[in-house]
Amino acid sequence: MDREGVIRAVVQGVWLGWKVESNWTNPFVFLTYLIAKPIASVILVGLVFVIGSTASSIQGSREDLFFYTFTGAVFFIYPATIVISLAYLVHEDRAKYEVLKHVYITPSSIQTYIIGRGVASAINASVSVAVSLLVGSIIFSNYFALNLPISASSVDYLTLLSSIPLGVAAFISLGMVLYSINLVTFKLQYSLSEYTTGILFLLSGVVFPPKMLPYPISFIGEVLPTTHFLNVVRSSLLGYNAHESMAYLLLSTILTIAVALIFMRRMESIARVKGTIDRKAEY
Amino acid sequence: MSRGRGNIKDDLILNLKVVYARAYVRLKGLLREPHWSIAEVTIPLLSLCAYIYMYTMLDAPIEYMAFVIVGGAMLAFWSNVLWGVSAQLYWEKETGMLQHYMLSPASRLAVLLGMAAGGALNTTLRSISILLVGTLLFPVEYNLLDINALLIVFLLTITALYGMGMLFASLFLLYGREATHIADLLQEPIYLFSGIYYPVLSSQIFSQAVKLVASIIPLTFGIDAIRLLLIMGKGMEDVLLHIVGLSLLVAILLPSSYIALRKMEDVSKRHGRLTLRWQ
Repeated sequence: MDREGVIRAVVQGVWLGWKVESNWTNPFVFLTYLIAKPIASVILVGLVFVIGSTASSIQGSREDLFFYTFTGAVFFIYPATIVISLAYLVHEDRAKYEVLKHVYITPSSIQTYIIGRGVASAINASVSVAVSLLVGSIIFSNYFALNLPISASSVDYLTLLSSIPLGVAAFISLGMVLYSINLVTFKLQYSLSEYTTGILFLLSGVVFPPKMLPYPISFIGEVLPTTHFLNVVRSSLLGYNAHESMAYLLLSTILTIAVALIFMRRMESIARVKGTIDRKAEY
Repeated sequence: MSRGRGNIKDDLILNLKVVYARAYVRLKGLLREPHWSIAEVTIPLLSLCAYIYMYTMLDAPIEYMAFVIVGGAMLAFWSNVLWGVSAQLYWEKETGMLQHYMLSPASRLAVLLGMAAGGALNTTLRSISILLVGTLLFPVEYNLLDINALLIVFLLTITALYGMGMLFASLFLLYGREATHIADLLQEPIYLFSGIYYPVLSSQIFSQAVKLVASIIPLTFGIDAIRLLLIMGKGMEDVLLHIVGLSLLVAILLPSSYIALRKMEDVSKRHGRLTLRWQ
């Protein structure tokens, strides 16, 4: 397929992903859904911080720790949204709407379609991240005197903006791995996505540094792209040098993409042999 | 039309059989899909561990670990109420089973009661597993002095929760694809208000207005009372308000679910939505 064809397939994937994710209701309800859930997650983490830090009476590094947990919770919306969306893709397209086989017999590659669906989720996640960051910082600043130590003039915008497509690429690749597992199995889509987001939430330094975990679990956290994505985001928001974290993010993203492509190719060939691409029964 | 005593007895036996049959599916599911049962214990433990580490990072008192474990154990009930009861009639519609329920002489309420009873029983096993594993993983201490009060609070919480689930199931009967999204939307906001990972009713952080709103959710009263009894060593007199609140919720939610089911079934029939899939 030529470059134009690839771009067209990705754009169609984005358009279809947007339709599937949003047209179940009217735009107002969808927008409420898009922002209420992530805002609730972010406020929940913030309240755990407020209640825990009040009970322990820590003072010195309170705002730094709040920045760490708050930004972790906000930017974790990216991997959570993308991974969950792609983990459900097989169930939706194969069993529910029965269109997966049609996608497979088009001249486009399934990977471009998955990338398109992942990008649609990333766009939705960006809206959730922006609103959660704004609403959460207002709530915690006004009601709990917890101000984020972010200055608009010191943010490293270039690093911040380049970390997002890199992170999104890694999370889409992770989603491809889940897609591949779901392709050769069935009834796993919910538990698989929840396991993955749960493990990422625990190991990636979202609400506490991964080095607090016992070895070798802490080591697993250190190699995950989510950990480096969050490190780059935090450093760039504070205007610190994020070159090292950025290099790790780039490396872990390249590795995740390579693993996802190899794994997907292998699973697809198994799916063709087992005849699971057009399997209907999921219930 | 008058009904004889024999008819009432037959109806009762039929509906009890329906309750048993629908509950049996839930219990059988434990064995038929063991990986789901494992997932439903393991997945809540992952976020539970994350919040315990967060409290550790903040150097919070040790009882906060136990707060999180108790909250995580009770979270299993909310997940089951949401996905196993509230969304169930929607799933039945999607799989083409709902029309068979409607054609049978059994009461729809008996179907819902069966789902709730089976769900409550197998979720209790999962909840206990979460509590046990959490307790083994982290150095928490319990101080239970009044087991009767704990049992009363637990039973009232479960009854109110499943009453709420049955009420939602009626509402979900009207939904199409939005059902899963609405159920999804009822997760994090409920965790936020019900205090899964922190105390709400006994905390100074929240205003009375927030506590009042949170009290509409049975989980809020339930978790708070269970924490007081199981961790803080309190007795019946300390949770009387919780018991009154939960009893009120039971008295409101159970009859409401019955009324809502009749109403929504009627609306669904008028709008021709009972067999409509994928809309």
